[in-house]
Amino acid sequence: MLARSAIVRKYALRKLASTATATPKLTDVLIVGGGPAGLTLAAALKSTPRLQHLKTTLVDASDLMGKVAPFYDSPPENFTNRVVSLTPPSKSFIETKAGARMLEDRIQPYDGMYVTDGLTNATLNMEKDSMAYMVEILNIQSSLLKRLEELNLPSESLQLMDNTKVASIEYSDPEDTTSWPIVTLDNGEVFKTRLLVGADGFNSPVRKFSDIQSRGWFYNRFGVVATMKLEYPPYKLRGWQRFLPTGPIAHLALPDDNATLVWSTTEPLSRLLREITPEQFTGLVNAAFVLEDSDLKYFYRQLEKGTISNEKLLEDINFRTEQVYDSLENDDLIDEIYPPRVKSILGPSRARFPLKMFHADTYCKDRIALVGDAAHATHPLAGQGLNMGQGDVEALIKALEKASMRGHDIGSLLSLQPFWAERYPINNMLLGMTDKLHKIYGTDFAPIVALRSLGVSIMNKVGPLKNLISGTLSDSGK
Amino acid sequence: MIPRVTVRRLVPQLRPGVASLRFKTTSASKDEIGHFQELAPTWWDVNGSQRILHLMNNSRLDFIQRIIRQSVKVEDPDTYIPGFQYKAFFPQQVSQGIEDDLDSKINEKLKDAQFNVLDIGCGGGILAECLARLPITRHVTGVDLTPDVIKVAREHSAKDPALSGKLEYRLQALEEVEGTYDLVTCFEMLEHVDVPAEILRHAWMRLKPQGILFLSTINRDFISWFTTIFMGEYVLKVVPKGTHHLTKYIKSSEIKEWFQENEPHTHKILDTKGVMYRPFNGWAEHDCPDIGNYFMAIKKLN
Amino acid sequence: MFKRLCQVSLRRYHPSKGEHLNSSRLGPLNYGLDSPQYAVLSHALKVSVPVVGFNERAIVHSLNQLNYPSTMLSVIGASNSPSLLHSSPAVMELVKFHLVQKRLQLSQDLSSEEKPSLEDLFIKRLELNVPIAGHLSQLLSHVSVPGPFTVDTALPELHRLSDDLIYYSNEKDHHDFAWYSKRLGISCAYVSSELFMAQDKSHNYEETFQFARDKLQRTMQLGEYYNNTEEWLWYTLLNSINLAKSQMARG
Repeated sequence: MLARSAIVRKYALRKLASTATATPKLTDVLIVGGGPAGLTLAAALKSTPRLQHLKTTLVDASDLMGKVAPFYDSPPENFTNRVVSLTPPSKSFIETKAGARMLEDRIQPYDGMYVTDGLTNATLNMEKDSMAYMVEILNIQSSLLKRLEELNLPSESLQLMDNTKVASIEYSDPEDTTSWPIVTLDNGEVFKTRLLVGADGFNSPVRKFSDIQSRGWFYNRFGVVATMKLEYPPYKLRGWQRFLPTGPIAHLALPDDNATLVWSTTEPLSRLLREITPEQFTGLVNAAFVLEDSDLKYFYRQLEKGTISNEKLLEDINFRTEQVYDSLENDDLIDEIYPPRVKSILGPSRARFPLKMFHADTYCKDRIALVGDAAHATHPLAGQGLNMGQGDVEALIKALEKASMRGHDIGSLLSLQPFWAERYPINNMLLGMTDKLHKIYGTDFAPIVALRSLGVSIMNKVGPLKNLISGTLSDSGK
Repeated sequence: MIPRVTVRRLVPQLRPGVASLRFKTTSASKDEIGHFQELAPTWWDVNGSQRILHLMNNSRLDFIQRIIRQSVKVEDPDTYIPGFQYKAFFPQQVSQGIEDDLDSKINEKLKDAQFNVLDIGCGGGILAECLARLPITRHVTGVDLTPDVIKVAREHSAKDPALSGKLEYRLQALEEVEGTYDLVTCFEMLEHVDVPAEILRHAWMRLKPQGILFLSTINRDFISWFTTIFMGEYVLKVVPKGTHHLTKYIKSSEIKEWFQENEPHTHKILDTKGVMYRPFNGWAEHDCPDIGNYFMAIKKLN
Repeated sequence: MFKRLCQVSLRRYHPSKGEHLNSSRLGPLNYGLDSPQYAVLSHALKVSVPVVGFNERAIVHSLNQLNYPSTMLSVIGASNSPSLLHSSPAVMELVKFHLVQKRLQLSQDLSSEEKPSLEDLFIKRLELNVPIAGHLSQLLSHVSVPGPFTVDTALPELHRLSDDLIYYSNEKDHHDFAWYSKRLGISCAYVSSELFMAQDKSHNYEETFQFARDKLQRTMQLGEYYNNTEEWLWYTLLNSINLAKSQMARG
């Protein structure tokens, strides 16, 4: 706690000390966005011997020091609802290259994915030890902030500015797009930067400034997330995913009796899922992994019309679930093919967001690089979004290291192009794969349902093919 | 005074008197200067006509750094110096750790080196700027005879505050350069001058004892003509037309012979590497320096 | 044939404001609102056709009612060249009048503030058929006999109808290739709805309207698939170019 107030004061003082001046401050790397990608980049820059000398500035609109950093030293008892799947390469990059130590007791490795088709119950059971890790985004962010604090760098080496927005960006010479961008912040400070990194998410102001097109579409689907308490800790540590015609629902393990949920569904249904009571929601989540699609549709209709009471709904779900359980060969199968039952969801943890797929035409221009969601957005069904961002940062660091070693200007296009060349094909593949999965499972058109079930059954039996897929998911395409 | 050599390309038959009266012996011909004058505006467009040169620059810098780093001896007993093919025996993390350790030790040793560098035929400053940014250099002097490219070089270097005080360009003939340097570089330049031997002689004069001369040019053979002129300038058009003239190319053996004859006991050839351009993949070094483009590093002994 | 197609295309292919705003003119009809032809044909359509159907008797009946000489029958059909398969040029004029007049009627009493949905407008046009629904099969056989009339009049009129349906509804309009497929889809949905109506015996043609709604929905769904596919193809094309560019950046 002491350390926290010290760091807050340190940064606050810094801010006070630097009042707006007419001449812009020079910096080598200005990172816009303090999400996982931006913070990883800052920490990796400062931890890489060949890049340590680069003056780094990170700007973020949120209250990083007040709201994010304290998570590390005094984490809340309950798990937060923004949880991501971190692949082993991403985790090792954060730990070795960025030097951050995440809170291990809040990380849950899982050993496989159990994927079922909601219409035919065709199953793909992928098993791989520590296939990926479920981590709260706050855990990643706060551990990186901790790392930066521990490096104890002077402000001319690293300046972290939270609660600050970018007010405008322009080229120092408007005629010359290779000139250093001048970034004006809403607190009046002005920076002139050798390299401007957009880690500023889907609506990236940096991407807009760079005039790089981003192409793709909204899925007309929404993701609903929630943190759940289970009736008992899971018997098998794996991710459970069921493809319903409205979109996939995923149940992912967190330590002990905790789990997180990502439910992708249509716009009206997502609204319904946000509005119903926590008990009704819990009931529906349990139902969604076990019952037939027609049962679920019946419940949705009843809930929409408001013609069903809490008790009646839960009773009905229980009754139908027992029926399904009874039809199984033996009771052991219940734990084998269905995720552990959810006891409750944490009150305010439900949130929804629109699902989309976008890909920028390029990730770099002279003096500009885009990483993470600024460069690409994906459907969460394959758990690749954050990992793609980590992969970008790793490739960018590699490119900058190489450029710096050769004495290049690290903001020049020539220095940045290898980063783009390395990441574009991988991200393109992952985006395409996720999009196709969404499309194949987003239909109830009988021939496609039959084909996909056949494909999944074959895949489930052919070991090498299955390993290829679990390998791809677990290595972020590398 | 022109030293006697057996190699015709290095010292072509000049009409007596004419050359020495009208041109400096180390200068490029009027045609060459005019050609580079035209290229000046696009010199720093990395996606433009000079892209291939920018890419080659990566290989040059890798070559220079490797030679310099190899010449540093780490004698610290705490540092583990791995044997041959250690990467095959250790897990990736261990070998990476060993490399990083060695790397930082070499960096430490080099930190005090602070080389003064002379870049002959600096052009727009593609190499000179990079050299100036390296932590191991104190100062880089770039000389060239084309006024417009010197202007481009100066304008471009002024954009990067990190270069101020570390880099200077002069519109000057080599023989007018004074002082001595730790490193002298002469890349892709010998094939553009009429009397390469004079360049070598003057470059060598500007080198301090224990200093290293880096040079590169193109072997005079069919493959060089096919790759650099026919493919490069006419088919793929990745090199501006008129950049090269086969008759001006110099075989790597000719350079070696020149040193054998003129500096028999005072030079040591540290390395000679062939380099080739691979479409979509940049430049790569290879071990056959008698074909196509090549790099050479020659150390001046006491 | 080609010349005829050219005539058809006199109307601009992509929707333009001017075209729709001038709709007080009677479109392809070459007589005005105050002409005797107009009086006779509108009377026939309103009064005679529901009783006797699309035939010469209907026109003659209206001529008599309005005290015109029955010899005017030949004047009414004068703009249509006689054809082997069609019984009378005058009847063809009556059919043409029906098609044009009902289409124009569609856009007459629309409020300018809120545009109706495509489905509402589609149903409204079908409702205009109710008085003559008993004779729809006769009408359809007239317009579908292969020949100059179909090419010159019936088909262009059908596409004009689809164009108007989109223009006057709140449906998003396209100025690209999707324009053609969308109109084609709506035209097909309309024709099949009319065919259904011709056979429909249900009360107040409820089944027809249900059929029409389903048909239109399926068409629009198909359109959505088409658009998604087109979007995806473009994305894939541009992406492949970007992928190639990114790999060229290596060398």
